[in-house]
Amino acid sequence: MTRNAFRRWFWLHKWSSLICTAFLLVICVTGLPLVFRDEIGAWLDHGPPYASVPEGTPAVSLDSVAGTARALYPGQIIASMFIDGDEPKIMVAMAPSWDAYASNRSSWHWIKFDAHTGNVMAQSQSFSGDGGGFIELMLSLHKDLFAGLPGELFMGLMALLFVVGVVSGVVVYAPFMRRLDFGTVRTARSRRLKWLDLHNLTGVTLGAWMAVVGVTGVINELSTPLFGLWQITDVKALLAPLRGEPFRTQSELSSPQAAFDTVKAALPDMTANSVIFPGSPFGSPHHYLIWTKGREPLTSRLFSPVLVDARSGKLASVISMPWYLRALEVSRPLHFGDYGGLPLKILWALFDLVTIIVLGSGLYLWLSRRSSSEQAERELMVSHGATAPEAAE
Amino acid sequence: MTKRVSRHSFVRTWRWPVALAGLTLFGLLSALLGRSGIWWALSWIALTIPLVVIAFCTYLRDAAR
Repeated sequence: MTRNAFRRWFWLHKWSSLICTAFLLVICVTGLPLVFRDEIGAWLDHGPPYASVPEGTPAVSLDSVAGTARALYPGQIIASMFIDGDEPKIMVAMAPSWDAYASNRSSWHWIKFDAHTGNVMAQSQSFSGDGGGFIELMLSLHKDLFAGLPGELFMGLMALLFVVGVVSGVVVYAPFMRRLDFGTVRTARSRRLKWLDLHNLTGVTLGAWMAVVGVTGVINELSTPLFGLWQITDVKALLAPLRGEPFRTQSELSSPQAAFDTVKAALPDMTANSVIFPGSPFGSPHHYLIWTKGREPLTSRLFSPVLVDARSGKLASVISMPWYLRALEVSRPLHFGDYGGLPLKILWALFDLVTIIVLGSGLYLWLSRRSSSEQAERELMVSHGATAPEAAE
Repeated sequence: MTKRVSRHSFVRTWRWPVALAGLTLFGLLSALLGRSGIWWALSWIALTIPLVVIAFCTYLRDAAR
């Protein structure tokens, strides 16, 4: 590498990292509990246990669940139902009206049903209330700093700078290491040198993981615009023939259980796990939208939405997802680390802690730099044998 | 001559980082794509190695010499 090229890459590494470091520290600290969100959620859940039933007991009909929910909140709308694959529970999301649902998230609330008995197990006052308050707080700090879409895009940009920092860091790694064995940590000479060696060691060792989690983090932050793009292109085209059809009130809808059964019969290899009711901004005005997924480790991450006509109850279409939403779906597990059991989550948490060390040591190296940055770079290069040996010391 | 020396130093600089990056990517994908428990176990082992390397270089390397 020429001296000029090194200087340019070093400049890029320094500034891309410095700009994002404070935000990345927030992301790393809040990401730590988020790795264990399922475990923490289960631990904070003080609700009653599920009814013990003989094995093979069928789930209650979604129609009776819908009936119970509507009887509890007459005049309100059911927005969606979520049928858990791991636990025998059915979550029903409700709101006073579709207008309220679309305009005000805090109008949402949910009811948790035992899937075997159809009994109400818990209810929330608002959508975020389930002792999940702590996790919600961590998620907001991690994802958007309470700023909604602009916050998501901003944090996505910070994640992108982090990826630039990782890549440029790997590029400038080589000149530093030219005369050193891999993993050398010089503890005797100075504190700064020790932390430089630790920064290089930890950064290059976990560089691949940091790049993967960074890139998938950027993609995750783009989920709102990506789904928006899909809605105004594919989904709009799909629904175009039905434009002008009268909107149906909830009492006029076909049976949600029948819609669910239709999908299961049409797609025997898939698991259906949620029903978005007609009229939802996340669905279709005239259909039940039923999210299905595969059963293999990877395909269980790939969702396919199926539309069922909410008048006739007939299957309308199985929608194939565009490539950019497939990329988003694959990037979720690779960002969350939730796809390999508890040991993988623990590894994820340890990687996260090492990343904090990389960030902190990088910040320390910058703060303890010599007065002029050019001088500092020269000093770094010289002290690490990036130039001819006679120039050292 | 110079070329051979620089290729040697290139290999020496990059063999460990490249091997560790390969292990990491293998570990990340084997748990995602593998269809049986063995792939999860391989993933855990592969991903533990970079952490062991960091711990070894930081704390034990001098003592091991």
